[in-house]
Amino acid sequence: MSLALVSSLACDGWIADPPLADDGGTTDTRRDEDDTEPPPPIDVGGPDDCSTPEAYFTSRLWPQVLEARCIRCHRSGGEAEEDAFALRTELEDDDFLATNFATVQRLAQEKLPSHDDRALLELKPTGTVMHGGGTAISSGGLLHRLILGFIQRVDGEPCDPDVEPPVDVPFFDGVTYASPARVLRKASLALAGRLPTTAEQDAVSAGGFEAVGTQLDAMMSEEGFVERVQEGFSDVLLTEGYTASTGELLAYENFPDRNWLYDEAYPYPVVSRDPSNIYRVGHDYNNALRREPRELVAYIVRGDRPITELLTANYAMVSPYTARGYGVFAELQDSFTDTNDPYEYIPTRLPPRRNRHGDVQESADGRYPHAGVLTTPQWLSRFQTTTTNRNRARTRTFYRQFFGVDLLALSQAVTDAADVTARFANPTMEAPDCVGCHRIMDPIAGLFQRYAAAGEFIVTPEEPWHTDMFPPGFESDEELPAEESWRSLQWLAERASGDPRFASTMAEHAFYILTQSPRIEPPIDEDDPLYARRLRASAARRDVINDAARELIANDFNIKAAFRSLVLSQLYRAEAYVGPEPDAGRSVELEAIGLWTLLTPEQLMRKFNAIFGFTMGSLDPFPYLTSSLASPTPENHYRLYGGIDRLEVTLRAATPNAAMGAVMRDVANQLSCELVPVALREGPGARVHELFPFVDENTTDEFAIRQNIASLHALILGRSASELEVSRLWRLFQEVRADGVAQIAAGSQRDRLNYACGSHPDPEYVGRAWQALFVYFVRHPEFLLQ
Amino acid sequence: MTRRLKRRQFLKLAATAGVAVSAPLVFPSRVGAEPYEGPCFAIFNAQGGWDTTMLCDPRGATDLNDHYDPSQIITRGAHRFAPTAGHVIEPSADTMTNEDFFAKYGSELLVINGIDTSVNNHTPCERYTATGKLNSTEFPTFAALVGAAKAPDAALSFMTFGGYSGTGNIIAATRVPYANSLRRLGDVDVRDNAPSAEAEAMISEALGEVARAGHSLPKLARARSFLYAAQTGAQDLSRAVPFIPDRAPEDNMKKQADIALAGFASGLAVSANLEMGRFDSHDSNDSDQLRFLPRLLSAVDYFLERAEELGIRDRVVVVVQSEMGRTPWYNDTRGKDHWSVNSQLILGPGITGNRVVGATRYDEEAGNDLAPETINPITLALDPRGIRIRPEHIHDALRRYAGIASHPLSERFDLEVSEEEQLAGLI
Repeated sequence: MSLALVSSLACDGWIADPPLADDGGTTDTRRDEDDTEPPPPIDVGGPDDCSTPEAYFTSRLWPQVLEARCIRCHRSGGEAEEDAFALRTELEDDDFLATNFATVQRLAQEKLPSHDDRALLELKPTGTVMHGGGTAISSGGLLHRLILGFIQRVDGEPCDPDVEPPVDVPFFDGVTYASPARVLRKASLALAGRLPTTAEQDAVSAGGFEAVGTQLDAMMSEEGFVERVQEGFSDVLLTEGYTASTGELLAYENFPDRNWLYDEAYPYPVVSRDPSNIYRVGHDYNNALRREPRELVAYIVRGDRPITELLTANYAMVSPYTARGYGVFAELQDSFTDTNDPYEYIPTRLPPRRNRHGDVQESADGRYPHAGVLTTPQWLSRFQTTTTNRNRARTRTFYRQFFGVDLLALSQAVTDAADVTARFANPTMEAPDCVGCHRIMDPIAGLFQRYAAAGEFIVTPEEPWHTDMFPPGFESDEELPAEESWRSLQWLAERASGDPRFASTMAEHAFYILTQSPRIEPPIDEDDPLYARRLRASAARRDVINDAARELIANDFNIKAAFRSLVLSQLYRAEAYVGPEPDAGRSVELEAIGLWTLLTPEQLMRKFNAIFGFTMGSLDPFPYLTSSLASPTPENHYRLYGGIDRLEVTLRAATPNAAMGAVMRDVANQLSCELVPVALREGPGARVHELFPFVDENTTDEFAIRQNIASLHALILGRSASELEVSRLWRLFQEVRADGVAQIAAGSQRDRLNYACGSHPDPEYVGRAWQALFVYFVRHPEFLLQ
Repeated sequence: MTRRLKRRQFLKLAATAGVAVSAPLVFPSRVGAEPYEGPCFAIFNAQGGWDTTMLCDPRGATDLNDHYDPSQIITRGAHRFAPTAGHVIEPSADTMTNEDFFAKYGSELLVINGIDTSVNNHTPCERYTATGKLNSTEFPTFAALVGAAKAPDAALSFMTFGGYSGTGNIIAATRVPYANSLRRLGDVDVRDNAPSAEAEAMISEALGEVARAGHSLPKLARARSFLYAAQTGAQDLSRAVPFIPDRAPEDNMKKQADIALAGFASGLAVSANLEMGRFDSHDSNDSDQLRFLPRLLSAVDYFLERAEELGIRDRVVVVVQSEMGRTPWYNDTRGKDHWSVNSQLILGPGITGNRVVGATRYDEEAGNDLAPETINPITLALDPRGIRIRPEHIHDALRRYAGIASHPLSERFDLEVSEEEQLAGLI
């Protein structure tokens, strides 16, 4: 069954509002035998009079139950694979729906005489019979009823045709899209941090969306793109949030030179040993270490290398400063252009770790077995472990960052954790409610066993690894062979990078970098009457992500292919809705369309630069927008504008608040103060982009002013103003000016600009009226949102 | 009729009427709106999972509490608590013993023990404790809900300093990390780079037209609405500045308290999530808990003392909570792992203090201590035929206490607590 067919079938019909359950919602956690009674007969009707099992499977059972709930464990290689209920994903199998239908149909036909000939397909997930994942769905709930509906159809039983009308509109019905030129501008600002050039605009005018892709390919070879991808992956990986300072990041046990800058006997000092220089060197050394994971991303992107190298890179990025800390400066110094440049990075393979006793890490090839970020001190220090946590927290992070799975969220169906914990001697290996997660988590945790709490490599373990947890391996697929144990994380990386979840998660990260729109989990409240609609909305986004993942795979994991696919997707291009008045269900679906999120402080800075020609340095008056790279210190006021420090605050603010509003106002005021008077006085050509091609500081002619309003509108907001909009802004200009002139006459305002704005003569209040319009544009949603 | 039915009916009606239930129910700030006068809710979160046996649900049993035995459990009024005097790690002006805390606040303190969070992992427990709903990611925290219901147009209506802060898209969460930041942002309009007050009003009006025009896509309409509310609400921030103390305290949670109090005292804020981390004591449980619980209590004490100084003590409600408890045994490193039975402390105007509702017990069948007891929802007394206290019961009671139980937003985010399970006399 093709994906196109999936799409058409998914639109063919939708779930009717399920009948009301008669329980109060909350149940006691201990089941008794009476709970295993099957729920009463239900309406499981479909869009037509009893749709076929195949259609019901495609439109309901698969998206709403199996894909939403079951596939997390019942996938190839999942911890539930061995019970012959392994489901295939669309990234693994083009015909996945047909394959899965056959699998599920078999379980629907398999009846248990001991349970009134009820099907295994319903008895397992409800926990009525032994299920490795415990009680995965509630008995009598929506998901259970959907399963029963499928079983009824497989059994050929009659069903009730009296159902609500199905949703029969395609998901994007009524949606209108941005023009190629607008898509180009939006993507250019988001990914390259600049406006499109005239040549690029002309190319797109002539070539349409196909040309957008071509221009985008060129933009993605620019440093602006590299910077944005670095920044985005920094949000994802969060490595810069580790708390250690300068060389303290590196375990002394492994790296005795880590504090080389303070060691007077160290043979390769930087520039001078002048004590006044130490602070700057320390600052640079600290930042150079902190940047290394970013530099890995940059190296991958610049070189069109596969993004799988985030996990599989058998090298580390080091600079002249960090190489000193790792103790490899002597062998690398000739490879650097400038050995005093803290931020010149090259890839290298480090020697195996040593401990203070001189023991050397086992290594078959004589070097440290790098596994992308996983083996970096930054990642291991940022995501620490404890003796009893046994690397499970690291594993959770691994799943979240590289497989897009929140392992803790899998456990929400557990209903009495305290009771379960007490009833089993070793709950993580015995209790069904716990095994579900631990069987996939603990093997990977075991692969990190040689890394201590803050990342120190344990060259000679004092004790063997724990036997009261599932043994090291890759989920439940395979155990780690003894001969691979010296490179256990490389072994993991090889398997993980080939897993379809990795590709889709990288595409999801690309989507976040492009739009700042965070990952959306499928709904989990099956009692929500809008559950099916929410699911359809999340599936629409998921489809776009999967398309990008396919492109990623087809292009040797070059992340640029994913960005290209995403920019050209319907979701990214969608601009408005002109369909019928949406009801509650359609409104929920429309929530997934339209990707306007607030520009991050970093993006806003770049936009200022792109449109107004401001350089970063000149924006120092706005400390709350200045992201002091990798210094999660109290001085980082940029958090006020929704930024993150990657330690305590790890999610960017999605909704503007009053504090951010104050920043917007102050920044707009300051920009208007610094830019407008100078641009008005200096005339055309004074800036990268002309703000005032039709007027100067004395112009009061309406036609000229209207022309300039339209010009500013197009420059700052990126689209032509309507006549109505120009008239409104002309009115604003007039009113501000009239009020100002009156105040000057009354003596309540000066006939000059404010002191902070240069104090130039402004007797007709023209300059300040333009400042007001400029403030309007910079505070406009079309400027501040993306 | 159960509340569940009501919720379905509401949604069906909304669907019939074409009401976009996912659209925001917020409106742009009214500059200079009447100050919100309370009640104001401060939610103190001990992030990581606290050890309730070191606080308000004492045991002292061998292998459960190293630092005291049952004979040392202290009883004061209705409260029983673990002794911490003499055991606090690094005692200072930023720590407070259980003895001092209960002596000072016991008469107005409601303790709820034996809260069953059902699960024992951080993510779902944080969400459940904060929202009262386990199996949905759509629900707002109580702090966000009460802010949106009580004063959606207040500039700092819902403040957060960390922890689970889901808003359900009904209100903006404001994150101001430092009091000085608030001070700096409060004077934007009076700086020399600002347009005249008249010009600013005209600019705002023009931008208001853009916001009011809305958008055909709900997400963008909401974004525009929030953006405009943020910009206009910013004009009110100066009202909070006079309530910021000249000297910031050292303790991070006390700094949060100062900012929250400035919001409350100025009438700009309804609620605040405050957070202190590092309670996840898998290693060396006692030293961690004895280091951070006293800091937590000290921060609560600071908050209440400062509220008194600001003259708003009679309108602040304090909820002290954590996402989970800790196992009734030590692990191999004398740490304690996650436990799905929890406690909460609540005090505020009109809340009867010197009370303990709910309890934990030793469950012989399961072999575990700290099993949740069941209570009679009407009398709140222990009752083997009663119900377990769960977060939704407490949230339901908080909503009724706050007077928002019938608010459309509460209907929209229905906790589905049946009338039979409502803990009417709890708060």
